Amino acid sequence: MISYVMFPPRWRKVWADLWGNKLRTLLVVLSISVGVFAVGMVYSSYLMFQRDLAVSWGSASPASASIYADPFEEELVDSVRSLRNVKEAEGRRNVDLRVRTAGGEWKQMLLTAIPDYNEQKVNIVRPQSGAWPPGDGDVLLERSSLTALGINQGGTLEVETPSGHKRSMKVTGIVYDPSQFPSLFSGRYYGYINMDTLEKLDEEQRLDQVNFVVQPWVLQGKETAPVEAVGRQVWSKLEQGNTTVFWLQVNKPGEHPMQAAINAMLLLLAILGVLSLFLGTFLLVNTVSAILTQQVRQVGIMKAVGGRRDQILRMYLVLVGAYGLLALTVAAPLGALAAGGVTGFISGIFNFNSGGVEFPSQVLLLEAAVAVLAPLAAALWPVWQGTGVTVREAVSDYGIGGIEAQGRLDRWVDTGLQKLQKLPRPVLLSLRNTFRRKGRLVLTLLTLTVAGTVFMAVFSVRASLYTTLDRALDYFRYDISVGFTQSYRASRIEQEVLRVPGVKEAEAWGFTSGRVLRDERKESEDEASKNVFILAPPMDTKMIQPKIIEGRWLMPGDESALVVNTEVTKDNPQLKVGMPAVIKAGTRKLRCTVVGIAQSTLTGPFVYAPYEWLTGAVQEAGRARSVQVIAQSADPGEQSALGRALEEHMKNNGLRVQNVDVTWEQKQRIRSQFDILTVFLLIMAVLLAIVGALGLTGTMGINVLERTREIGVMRAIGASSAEIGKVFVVEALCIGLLSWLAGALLALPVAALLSHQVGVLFLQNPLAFSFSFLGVGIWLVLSVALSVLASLLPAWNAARLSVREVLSYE
Amino acid sequence: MLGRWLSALVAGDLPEPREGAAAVELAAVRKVFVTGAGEFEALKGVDLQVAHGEFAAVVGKSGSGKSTLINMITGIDRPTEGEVWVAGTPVHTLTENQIAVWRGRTVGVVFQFFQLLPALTALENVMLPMDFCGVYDPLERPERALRLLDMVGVGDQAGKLPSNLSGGQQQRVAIARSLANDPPLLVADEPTGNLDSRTAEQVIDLFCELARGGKTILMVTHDNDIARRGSRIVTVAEGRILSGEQAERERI
Repeated sequence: MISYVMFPPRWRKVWADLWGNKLRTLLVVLSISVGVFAVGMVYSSYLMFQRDLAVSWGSASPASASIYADPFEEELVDSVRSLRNVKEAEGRRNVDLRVRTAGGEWKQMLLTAIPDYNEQKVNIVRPQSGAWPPGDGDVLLERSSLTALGINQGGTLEVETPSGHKRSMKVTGIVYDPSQFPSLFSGRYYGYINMDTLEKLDEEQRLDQVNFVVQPWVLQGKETAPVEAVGRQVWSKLEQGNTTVFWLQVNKPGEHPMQAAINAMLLLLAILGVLSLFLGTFLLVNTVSAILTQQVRQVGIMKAVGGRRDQILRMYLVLVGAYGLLALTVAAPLGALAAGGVTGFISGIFNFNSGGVEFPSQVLLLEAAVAVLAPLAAALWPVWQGTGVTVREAVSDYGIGGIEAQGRLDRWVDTGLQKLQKLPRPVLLSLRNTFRRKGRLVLTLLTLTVAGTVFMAVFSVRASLYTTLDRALDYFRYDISVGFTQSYRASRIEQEVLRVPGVKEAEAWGFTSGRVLRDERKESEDEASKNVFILAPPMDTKMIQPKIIEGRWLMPGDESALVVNTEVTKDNPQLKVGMPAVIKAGTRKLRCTVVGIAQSTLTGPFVYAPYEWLTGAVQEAGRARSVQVIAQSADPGEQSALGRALEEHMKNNGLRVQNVDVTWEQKQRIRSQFDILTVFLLIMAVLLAIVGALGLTGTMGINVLERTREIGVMRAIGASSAEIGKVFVVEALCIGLLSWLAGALLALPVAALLSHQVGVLFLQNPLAFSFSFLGVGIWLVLSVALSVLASLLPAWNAARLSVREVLSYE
Repeated sequence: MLGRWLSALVAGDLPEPREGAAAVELAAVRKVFVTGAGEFEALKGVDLQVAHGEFAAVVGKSGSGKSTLINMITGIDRPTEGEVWVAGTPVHTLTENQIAVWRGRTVGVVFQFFQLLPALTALENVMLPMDFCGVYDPLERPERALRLLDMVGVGDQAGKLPSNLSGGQQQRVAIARSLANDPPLLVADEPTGNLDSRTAEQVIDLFCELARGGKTILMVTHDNDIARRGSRIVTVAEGRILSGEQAERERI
């Protein structure tokens, strides 16, 4: 008896509602949990991603800028360090060579020699496993290079030095270099050696790169200009030391080198978060109002025996709050776990250290708000309204909604249904049911539509990415490209290439690299600018098909004409059609006029110049440094084999090869970069589908529970289980189809917007938009199947009850 | 904090009752229902006085307006026009919330379909009104509830849920619940409508006993034999209360 004092009857009722109807509690907690889970997962991932990236990258003490020069002595680095505006400086030596992968292919590799591994100051490389620092003749591999290279710790690396000698190096350890582009993105492999090993690679023991960090007072937000100014001081310092400096690369302060891709990812995450918040809230309002309509009669009884409005209000708010708390305890840990998974996935791609699962307090706060405050807010109005009706209205509520046509929409639906007289009566009943509870219908539709819209939009972004990729790759008409370390007579190259069996056509091109200068002034030469590749194909080349988006392609008779691709204009916005351009190639300044802008091929910044003019200008007339080859076979394997045969043949005939690029391999690499985003998008779509599906299951389930009495009435007048099932399935189909239709319509603009944004962030260019009908199809099947499933289960449950049980159902 | 705010929002203070008033007094009460088929006048200007300690049976055909009439008295529904005074309190002027508080203390309501809360045991159902209205010491409540259940003859069913009780037992629990706060007025809408004649007889005996104990009882029924057990018969036809003669004619 004493327990009644502690726990009065009205709170017993709340407890009984919570515990006594476990199926309903389960459905409600499920619906709320889904929203809380999604919000928590996205928000935690977002925070963990930012936290881990910042920690990983920041711990490397990333360089403000790097300067590349001819080999110099280590003392020169000390003089750079002594500059007032330089906080820290460190010299390194880079060796570009070729490496044989486990698959037998030759790939580009960058070996970096660090003078003192234990005294690193800038772009710090950290040991991961194995030896530290590297011993003589040994190499430590960067961890992001392991998978694609197929060589692990303890293996042997076979390299070919720039002078053409083959060397074997032992892989004695694995390191982590947070400031390096992950191999997945750059397509290069990274290794770390000591200074003594340089000699074994036919290189002298001197440095050729200075990485430096500027003093904090130099920085002005994210401006690169102040860093560039310091860079010029470093430049002159090096020149005073009698070395030729050829390139200054300035990094945007505080920005990760992969910032563009990261921003695209963060944008997608943020969108997912906001949407799941919406979805969660819709679900909640829906669920809570469903429970409360079920309770109208009981509210009436309680009022009849003297329950005050505030007492009853409090009871239901506590009930709803309890649902929320239950959902929170279920969803919060799951959300954190899932966030750990997502962060792990992303950190694998971007090569940063995942700091493990954390449970930030702001995430818990947000989750609590979604789980408890949102349901309370959602419940307040229906409870207020429910406690406001007179006892007579409440008590005469038998759980069967009124069927009177009230609004214009009802009459419109009725008129529509009149015309469908031939439909069987139960189907008409379902259709009418669907539209009768408009508030409920709107909420369910909103939930499903939002999920569907994003699902379809995400598929479209994926399709757009692929379309963009296909268009970019359409450029390549040659199968293999061979580059040489120096120029040879074009006719000789072509002659030699054509002697290799399997070669169909060959075309020798002029090729050189250089920098775009801002203008002709002497000072511009010292200004920072990124490297560009200058290609000089014959005027009528069939080997490439550049897509001109402005101006025109090169024409016979063009002298100093230049076509640049969009990746060049990105870094050099001053380049416009009809404007002059200055390019520094080696020691020469080339003055030309931009005649066209070509779409980027996603392979780098390229400019195209007429063959005769360029080779003349760099005094290599009639000569070439690269040859493009079309193979007789379309088979990728044979093309790769031909690439190796070509390399072998050239070497045997005294032509020094710098690189052999097989087009399909290159395409593959670009595709895999895109796959990161598309896989991420797919994960997002699947998650949304799950959220939508669970949400629908919850709503439909509660919807059917609420109509248990209606099922009993139908049963009592002779409806078979199949008939009853049909009523609910048709209703569910109706909702599924409606939401699909609305979602598909909304998906078009949303997808267009999202594609644009992702393109701008990821590729600095809007994507070529393509609407995915596949996504629309998948969602159609999914939403219909889910609707039917979600309503059939509880309906089947209800149909098993006897008429008596159902009619006395509360 | 939230609680105080809620209480303030839905203030339930009652006006002071008028001294020396009749137990029930209706003056020119009209009730119009608006339905899809148009307006329907359920009560067409009803005047009624019930004295303290009376056991009045309200009879009439289905649809005559008898249920509507007593719903006016219990405040379960509101009149469209006219005044409803119960024990000196103007029920027609109270807000929905004031009515709930007032009803909890002044009127015990018994429904045809019992209307017990399915989630609570018989004992808890009886305790619920005391809990809502905060009457009796919390320690006393279970004892009192059990006493009431004993009085109506279902003390041994106290721990059962309504779904495990027969119709007659449920109605007895409902009557015990209506007596929970010791209200001076008991209103029952066809309390025997869902019971067999023997059980119905026992329920009416119970009412007679309560009336003898000083409670005013208003009971709707369509059973003339049961109606005759009361001290007075009020006949309702087509929304009006018939005079004695009219009522006789109506019965023949």
